[in-house]
Amino acid sequence: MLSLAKRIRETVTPARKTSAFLSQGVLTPEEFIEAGEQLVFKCPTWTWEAGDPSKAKDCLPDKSRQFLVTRNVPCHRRAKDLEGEYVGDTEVRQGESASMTAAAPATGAQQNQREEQGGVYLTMRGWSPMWWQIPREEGGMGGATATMAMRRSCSWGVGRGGLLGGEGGATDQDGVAAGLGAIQLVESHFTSPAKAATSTADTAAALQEAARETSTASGAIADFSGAGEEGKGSGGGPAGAGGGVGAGGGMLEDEDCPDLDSYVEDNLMQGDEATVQAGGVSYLTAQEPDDPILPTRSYDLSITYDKHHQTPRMFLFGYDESGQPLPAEEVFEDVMQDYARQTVTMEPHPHLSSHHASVHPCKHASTMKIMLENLTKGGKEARVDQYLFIFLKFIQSVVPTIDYDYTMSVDAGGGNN
Amino acid sequence: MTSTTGPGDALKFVAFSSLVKVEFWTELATKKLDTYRLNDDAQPIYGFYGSGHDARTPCRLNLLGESSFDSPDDEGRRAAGPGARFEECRAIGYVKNVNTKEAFKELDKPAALAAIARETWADAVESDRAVAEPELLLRFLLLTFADLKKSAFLHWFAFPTLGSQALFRLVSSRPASAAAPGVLLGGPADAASVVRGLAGLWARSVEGTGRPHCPPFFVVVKDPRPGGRDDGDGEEAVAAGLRVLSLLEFERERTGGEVGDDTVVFGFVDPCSEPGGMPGWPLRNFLVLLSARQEHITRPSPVRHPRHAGGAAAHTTGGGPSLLGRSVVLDIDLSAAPSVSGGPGEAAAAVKAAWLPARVGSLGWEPNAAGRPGPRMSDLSSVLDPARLAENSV
Repeated sequence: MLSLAKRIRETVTPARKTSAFLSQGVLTPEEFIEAGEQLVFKCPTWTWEAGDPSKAKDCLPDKSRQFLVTRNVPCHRRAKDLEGEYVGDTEVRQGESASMTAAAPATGAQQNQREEQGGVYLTMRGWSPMWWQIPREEGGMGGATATMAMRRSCSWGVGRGGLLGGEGGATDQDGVAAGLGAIQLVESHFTSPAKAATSTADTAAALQEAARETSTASGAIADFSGAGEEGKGSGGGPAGAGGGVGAGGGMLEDEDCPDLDSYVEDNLMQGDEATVQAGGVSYLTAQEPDDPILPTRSYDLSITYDKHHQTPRMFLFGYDESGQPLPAEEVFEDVMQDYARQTVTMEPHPHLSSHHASVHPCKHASTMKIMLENLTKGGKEARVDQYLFIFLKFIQSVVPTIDYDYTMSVDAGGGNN
Repeated sequence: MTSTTGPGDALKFVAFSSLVKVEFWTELATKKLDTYRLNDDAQPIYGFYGSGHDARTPCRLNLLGESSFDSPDDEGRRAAGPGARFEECRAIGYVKNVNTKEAFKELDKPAALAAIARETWADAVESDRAVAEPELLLRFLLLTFADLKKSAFLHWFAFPTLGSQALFRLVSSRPASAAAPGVLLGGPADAASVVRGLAGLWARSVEGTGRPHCPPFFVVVKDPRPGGRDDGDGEEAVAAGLRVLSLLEFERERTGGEVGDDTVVFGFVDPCSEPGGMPGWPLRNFLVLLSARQEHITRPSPVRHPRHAGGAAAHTTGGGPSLLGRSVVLDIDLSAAPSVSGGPGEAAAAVKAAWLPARVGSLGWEPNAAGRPGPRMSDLSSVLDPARLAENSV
């Protein structure tokens, strides 16, 4: 019902005709196409798609350029775990930061000040702003901050700073500066002052839980098996320990449903010495003792144009490592926990017939505006065709472990054309 | 990967892992209702793969929405527009959607797969058509039972392979970017020129066929004329003295005497990023083609196979060092593999028997998530069913 109302709203909203991407952070449909063309050009892993022709939006001039897609983006770790890990490093500070937030309703300026104080603000809000600070190398970061910064730089690999690398090296710094602004905005806009207190309580609870998790030998494994118990029944383990199939765990309990074991035919797939089966146990086997067994999920990401909010809108669809679609509760494990079910919800995809997780665009414009202003302040001309690159940086703070940037690092490495 | 292949061992191939996008299932459901209905004949579909993956993701074959069900008409339309660049190589398969669970269970699966293996042999190898259409070597079978009421799809993939024995021996393996004096392909400059040459080949292929797909197999040859040629595509490739040709172009030039046998490297786009350098599934049937048609395509042995990693990124950016670092050159000994050149009649029949053994129908079935020989179930109720979604929506 609600989505029907939204569709009607989108139909009656007239398409924006005049450019206002600098003054309001919004895009016209034509600017969306222009920015999309630049993204596709710089990052060939992104492509245009038409989607269901009956769902094509009239405001977008080209029926074959309705939305942007990148597929099979790896997601090695759960955002949930990262938050836990960081908090685990810094639990000493939690009382301090929690009280600060409770006392001070979040406004952009105050958050800015808090951010100047280094670790305190960051401690409160989890680790996501951390990597924006890596290139700044300012003093005042606590030890825990440094630790986390190192961890981030290790796990995210090369090329991250080069996201805007096609524009020349100097852009990196600007991009980072813009990113910093974005994080503050993300925080201030997605968390209303009224919610700050609630979120503090939530965070405190999360801290305890996370501390408990990280105190076990390997938090990631413990957490994953926990997730399996909650959501999928015994069949969900990627290592196949429980038998059955990935997402089919719930179905096996259904009496109408076939027991998959009854379909097993042992005469098939008999030993062939030239075959190595991938995707099964071997890819999940640890290479080194300190390399925990991690489920590698993959995501299909799409960026649509939201005519009502006049901004791009991000949709995510996840698959577990055996190729089964992830149910909503498991997708939310890959979203920063403050946003799951609030800013990020399951919605019908505007061009497809399935439901995807979506980052709600209500604050995109104001966030993008500040990011673009920061870019301009840094002495760089903010161009409309860079919009989606900056947008993707901003989205990364919501889904930090969905590693779409690795695909762009290829471009940053090769890219002078 | 716990096991690795060392020099002298039988060459092992990393099997495809299927990844069926939810759009494929919704499209299949639509086809079932509107087109197939109760018809459970095998229907042609396409799967897609590419290279340049993250090392921890397996060797994927993707089934997409519309484009997996493309008809020749759609192809032209799609080639003209944007998109369809994802996972640039295309494999040709069949979906056989049966009407009941019982039919799924009772289906003679080895017979179904053996039929495709025989077709692959006849179409691709025996008739030599794979030289012009290398996609014919990339086959797969998808058995499904679609429970539309529950949005649940029981399915089982099989990737037919010719020859059940480990007939190929690995002589050596090294990164393409590693300089190795005295060989055709060695060092970053050569690797870079191969990537550029492949981009040129892809462009020629798109122009020639109207399809946006990258040729899955290719040939790298040393230009016989010192100083290179000055006829167009890829000046830097010319500077390095290497050219990338399609199988067909190669065969023509070879017949014309332009290319010598000792200056050839065969290449393929590898969907496998396994760090140990083990090749992915597409190489397997390609080696069968090379072995079986030695008198046409290549001299006996050894054959070198650079593994191209980089895919679309390589084509549009010109590639960078990080990209080329993952291409691998394999020296492979084909001498144990039977060749059609043995002669007509009984000899040919013996060769065919070696490549199409009785148990060919039971090889190449994808295990289920538990690693057992059984089908998988995709339950889409959580992403399609509104009732369950309501719990997660605000």
